[in-house]
Order: sequence, then C-alpha cells, then structure tokens
Amino acid sequence: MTHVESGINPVGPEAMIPDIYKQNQHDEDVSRHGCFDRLRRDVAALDGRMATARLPLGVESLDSALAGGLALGRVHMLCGRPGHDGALTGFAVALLRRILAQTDEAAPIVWCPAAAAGGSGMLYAAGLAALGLDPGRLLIVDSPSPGVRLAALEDILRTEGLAAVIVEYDRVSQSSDYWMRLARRAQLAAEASGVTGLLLGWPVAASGFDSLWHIAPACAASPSETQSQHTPRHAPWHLCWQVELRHARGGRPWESRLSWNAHANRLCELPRATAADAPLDAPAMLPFARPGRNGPRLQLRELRPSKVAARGTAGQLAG
Amino acid sequence: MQRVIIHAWFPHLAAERVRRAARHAASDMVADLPSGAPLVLTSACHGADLVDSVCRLAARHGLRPGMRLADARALRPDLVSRDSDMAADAADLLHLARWARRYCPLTAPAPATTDGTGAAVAHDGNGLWLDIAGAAHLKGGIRALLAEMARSLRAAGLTVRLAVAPTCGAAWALARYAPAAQRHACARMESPGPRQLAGLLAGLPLAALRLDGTVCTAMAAAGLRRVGDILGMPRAPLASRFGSVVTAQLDAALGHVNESFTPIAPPRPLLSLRNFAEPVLAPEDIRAVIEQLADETAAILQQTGLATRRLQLGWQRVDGAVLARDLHLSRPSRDAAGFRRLLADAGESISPEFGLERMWMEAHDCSPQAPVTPQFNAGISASESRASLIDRLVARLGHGAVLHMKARDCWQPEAAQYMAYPDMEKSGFTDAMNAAPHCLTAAPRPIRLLAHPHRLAVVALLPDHPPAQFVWQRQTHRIVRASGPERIAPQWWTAAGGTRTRDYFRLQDEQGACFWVYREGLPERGEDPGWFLHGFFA
Repeated sequence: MTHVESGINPVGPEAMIPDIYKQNQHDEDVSRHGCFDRLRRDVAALDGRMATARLPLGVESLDSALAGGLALGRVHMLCGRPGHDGALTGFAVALLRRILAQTDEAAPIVWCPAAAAGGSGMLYAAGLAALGLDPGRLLIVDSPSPGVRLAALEDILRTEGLAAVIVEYDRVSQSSDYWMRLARRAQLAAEASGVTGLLLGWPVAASGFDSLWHIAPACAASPSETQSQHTPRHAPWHLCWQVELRHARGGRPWESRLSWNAHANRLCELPRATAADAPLDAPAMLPFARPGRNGPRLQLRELRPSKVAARGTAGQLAG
Repeated sequence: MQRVIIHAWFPHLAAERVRRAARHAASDMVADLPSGAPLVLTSACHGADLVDSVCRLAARHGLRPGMRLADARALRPDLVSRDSDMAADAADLLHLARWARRYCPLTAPAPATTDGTGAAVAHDGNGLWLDIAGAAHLKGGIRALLAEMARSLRAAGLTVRLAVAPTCGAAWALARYAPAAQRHACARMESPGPRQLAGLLAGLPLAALRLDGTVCTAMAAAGLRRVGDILGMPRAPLASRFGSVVTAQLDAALGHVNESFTPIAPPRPLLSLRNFAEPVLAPEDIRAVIEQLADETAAILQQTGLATRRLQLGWQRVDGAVLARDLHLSRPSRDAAGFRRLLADAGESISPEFGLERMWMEAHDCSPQAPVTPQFNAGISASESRASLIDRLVARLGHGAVLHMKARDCWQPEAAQYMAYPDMEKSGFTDAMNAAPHCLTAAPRPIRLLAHPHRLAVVALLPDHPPAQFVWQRQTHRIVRASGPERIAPQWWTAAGGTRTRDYFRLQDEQGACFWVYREGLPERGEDPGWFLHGFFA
C-alpha cells in the first residue's frame, strides 16, 4: 500500500492506468483487500466519480476500507448515541486535525454547534485547545434550530476558503427523503468549493453522504485489564474510540478501536477486543451495554429507508 | 430681505482641544498636562516661538496670542506650552460648521487668517459664520436660537462668544470686542441699518474692523484708536494715508458694501428613497424596489468614497406604520451585487398588508474606503468569500448568530470563555491563551461544557473520594477510572452569596465515556455536598 504514505493522492484517470498484472508480480505484499481496492478505484475512475483528493488517516486497514483515505471536498456523517457527544466531538476534532494539516494555515473552520441549552452542552474552547485545535479559527454559527443549521449547510459549503464545515444536527427528525435531498445538494456544493463537511449527531436513517461513521467511546485498556487491575492514578488519559465505518462510497465497512495521539496528530488502531474481554457482570438494565455488534446495528436496520421510499426519492430527484 | 449673520468666536478653541485630548488619552498624557497650569500653543516664527493660542486660565493671567513664548514664561513661569496644529484647528472648525447646520443651511468656518509667514495674526481667532435669515423662527426667534447654541457649545466644553448683526463685518467685530450687552443688541432691533450699526461699533477699537496690526499701529500713531474716530472723517484722505482697506472694511461692516461668505457644501445623505404614487403590494414589485435601492445606495457610496457596515432598509405602510430592518456587514462594503444578495430574501420578510407607501435604504456606520479597481479575470479572494459568508449567515440567521470564541482570564470554567462578534483580522483566543495560560491549560478541560450543570445521583465514599457510580439520563455509569480532584473556589469578591467551592473529577465509565463531574460543597466544612455533571471529555 505505497499510495497511502504519500500525502493526498490525486486520483485522476491517468493514475488509474497501472495494471493489476504488475501488482500481481509481487503478490506477497499486496493483500487481497488491497487488490480489490485497486479494482474498485479503477471502476470508479471509469465512472468518473472519483476524481477527488483523498486524505489518508494513517491507519492502513481504515484507509483501505475508505478506498485510499477520507475524501476531501465531500460531506461525511458521524453519528453517536445520545450521551456520547464527547467521543463524537473528539473524533471529529481528530479528523479535523488531519484535514487542517493539509490545508491553508489561516482558513477558518465553520462549526454550527448544537444549542447550548441542549443535553450535549456547548463547545469548550480550552478543551479544544488542549486537543491542538486553535479555537480562534472556529467561526461559530449559533442557531438553536437544527433545521436552520442544516439549511445553512449548503450555503456554507459553497464558500471557498474554508478549512472545513461541521454541522451538528442534535435531534432533528426528518424523513429519509429529506436526508437524501440534503446529502445530494450538500455533496454538490462541497465538490464545487472543495470544502470538506462533517455532520455530527444522533444516528438517523440518512444515506447519500460520502461516508457514514458510528462513534462510541472506548477504554484504551482492554476491558479485561480494566476489570482485573486498577489503573494507576497518574497514568495518562488516552483518547480512544470505538469507530465503525458503516458505509463509504467506493469503500467497505470497517470497525475497530482507534486511539489518537493529539500531540503527534496520529491515529492508531488498537488490538481488537475479543469475546473473552467482555465484562462478565454487564448490567442487564442497560439497553445497549456494549456498543457495537448487537444493539445499534439492529436499530439502524429498522430505520433504513425501504426500497419503495428510495425509489420515490430517485423519481423526485429526477423530476 | 435683510440678512442676519451670527458670528461665533472660539477664543480658546485650540487649547481646549489639547486639554480635551489629554483628558481622553492615557494617564501619562494627563500627568504632564496639569490642569492648574496655564496652557499656551506656540509655533516658530522668524526664529522665535510665538504664542498662537492660549487657554482661558492663561488669558486671565495676561497671556495673549502674539506674544513671544519667552515673554509669556517671564509672566507665568509655570506655564505649559505645546506646538500648535493649524490643520487640527481647521478640522475642528469644519466639524463645528457641519454641526451648526442644524440651525440654518448656510454655515462656514472662519479660520484664523495668517500673515505672509504662516503665523496666525495675533488678534485673530477661530470663528464660525451662520446666516440665519429666515431660519431663526424654527428655534423660536433669534434670541432663543442664540441661547440654545451657546448652551450646547458650552456643554461641549467650548468657550464661545456669539454676536448677531446684519453684516459679516459687524458680527465679527461685536463677537470679539463688544461687551456682552451689545453683542445681541441687533436681535432686539427691528431691521438695524447703517446708522444703528455705527452706533454699536463706535466704541470698539479699530482692530475690530479686521485691520492688519501694522495699519492699526499707524492709525494709533495718528491718534485714531476707536471706530468712532474715523466714522465722521472724510474718506479720501483716510484711504490715501492708511490704504483703501480701511474704508473697504468700514463699508463692509456698516453694510454699504455687501459681503458674503462661502457656505460649506451640505453633506449628501446616504439615503435613497422611493415614494410610491400608489400603494405597492406585489412581492415582485417590492423585490424590484429593493434591488433599485441597493444599486442606488451602492452608487452613492461609490461617489462619496465611503463604505458602510450597516444598511437599514425601511418601509412605511399605508396605515402609517414605519418598520425597518438592519443588515450588518462583517466589513465595510459598497458592493451593489453584495447588497442585492444580502437583501435577496428581505422582500419576503416584508408584509405589506394594505400596501407600502414608501421605502428607503440608508447606510450607517460609514467609513472612507479607497476605491478599488476590479482586476480582469480576478476571482474572489478567499478572505472576501469568507467575509461575504459571514454577511450572508448574519443576514439569514440574525445579528449575533456568527461568533468567535474568546478566552477570559478566569478560573471559573463557565466564565473562562465568551462569544464575541467575529474579527477576522486577529485571533483573540490565541492571544488570551498566551496571556493567561494557567487557568486555560493547567488542568484538563472538557471539549463540551454543559451550560447548566446537571445534578447527579452519585455513590461516592466520604469525605473526598471520586464517585464509584452515578446515574445520568436514567443510565447507571460505573466508574472504572477517575482523576482529581481539582479544587476551584468561587470568586468571593464577585460571586453571589452561598456559592460553594467545587472539586472537579475526571471520570471514565466502563464504556469508556469520560465525564467532568464536580462536587459542590466541602464535607469538612460541614456542607452537604451535591454532585453535578459539567462536561464531556473526548
């Protein structure tokens, strides 16, 4: 995966030409996934929908799942369950730091946070500064209504000279049609200006965004370690999240624990928790005791738009 | 119609400006301008420092404009001297002339006349002309107008002497040389003619005829000191001996010769207005009018070289209701296309009800801006595009919707941050971070802070252990890791009574979510502690 190391990879048609047979000569190095990535990107380039800059996140398996990295100039959706706002914001800041490392020094970031009176609280500048994000670069768009914030998203995304746009929709309830239309318009606006957009909020039945993530907090130490021995009092607090890539355009789903070193601005994958690590005495009263496999996945399948609804949307868009 | 000229004389205009500036400036300026010492303003002339202007105190001590600074120092060793600034004097006078347009449309500054070398003529001073003929009744007559003018000028901290006369020369003379009783004498007379003016001026010194110092000296040598001395004299010998200027000024003062002044040009209002013959109702008509107004306002700004930071769109309905909408701009602008864009949805927000009678657009908070020639093929720069984004968002979401985070040097977490109107030039937060590093970076801070701390039901060991578990949003969070406490005491000098000390803990539950929780009240003081959730870590 040599293409991952070299900064942003402009993937144009000419970059797509290298044939797979050459790759096949040293099959040992190339994983099966890598080969499929190449094929997928070739096909995508022939479609003409992937002439986009990609930002490798520095985690090999994740970058391959994202078909080379996070697509810049697109809109991504990051979801987290209510109560996990800290983790969600933290992961958004981690992505933002990766994006900022590649963009103009002085470009501001537009952040439309959820209403301060809501349950997720307001952005706190000192905490952002501790994660290496200069709060002075943030342009806060303060509007209590998530609908208004989402309506302004397209206008903001169309503006050139921004580093990134982050919009929090805290508890908006909209039809899948609405999300489909919003995603389409936002994607077109972002492609025109090259500004990357992130949407943060609760899990919703949305589709059409470039990638869809589910973020949950995670312990840096594996659960069995936490259970068995007490963490030393002055041990550093590692930032760690359970990151699930549900969908990525041109990529494939992916899930793991990611830890982020804010000083070095480096993401790294933690070893996967095994079934033996599951806490033995998980309280039965919690609806979703462990984020991941069972609960949210089932929930989302219920929320997914039906075939009929999707067809209706396509008809409306065409109309 | 007879003219009515008011001359306002500001004998200490320059010195009062220096004192005013010193009062408003930093304290070091005040330190070297003691209010008890006489102040004189000087300029160099023929190798000597001449006094141009004196303050009221200095005038009372016998210091006069035209003296040498050395002589003045001999009289008052404690005096303070400053360089005079003619340009600032002229600017002040122009400002006053504009201000005086509230009384009449014809006003003009009468600056200190200078002799050949550029030094102010000694007896001269700064004055203001007003031609109030036909305008005095608006203020209830000449005397009421004079009284109001004097009152407001004195309230502004200016020493002023006002005189009224039918001619410029007489008003000038009366303002400077006449006693207070005579200065307003013409206001009491019914159309004063040359004879009445001669009676008023007769007792004044010859310098009151705006004569040069050398002419005055020559006439004094011939025994002529008062205006009355030359009133009855034959004119031809007077002119041949002292110059025709003497008779010319006398004729001007008495009204035999018409003398006038050039009034300042009225400032053009930054307003475009549409009065409609019939009430306008249709939304597309309103939109078209708004676009015309935007173009017109931009054109006016272009002509005057100004740029505005606030546009006000006003409308009046047929029922008489006057409504307005403000548009705040992030930077001064006079871009017609930008105005149109910002006002694109303003038409929808106007509810005409039974129709609009008039609409107008006014530019406020204007500042001069050099005209910029648009370059060929030049795209919009990134900073322009950002600024226009702010404008669009503010126009859409309201003033105060787009903000910057600013830091404050304060240990109280909720007070350490505030929001301010964005200033794209400088990042205030970074400066504040560098200035006040302790309270912002010393201890870990959450990335999200609850505006109102949420009370928790907590299981914790007394007296000062972190919680073992707490219930929040009907979920039990079992704590696997904690650090703290960080003790933050309230600001006792500002805090309300009963505000208690807080101990902050950083907690991690078994799912990995990190919380910022505090205990309010110290058990060792016998206070009943309460637990609150205050924020979330990443």
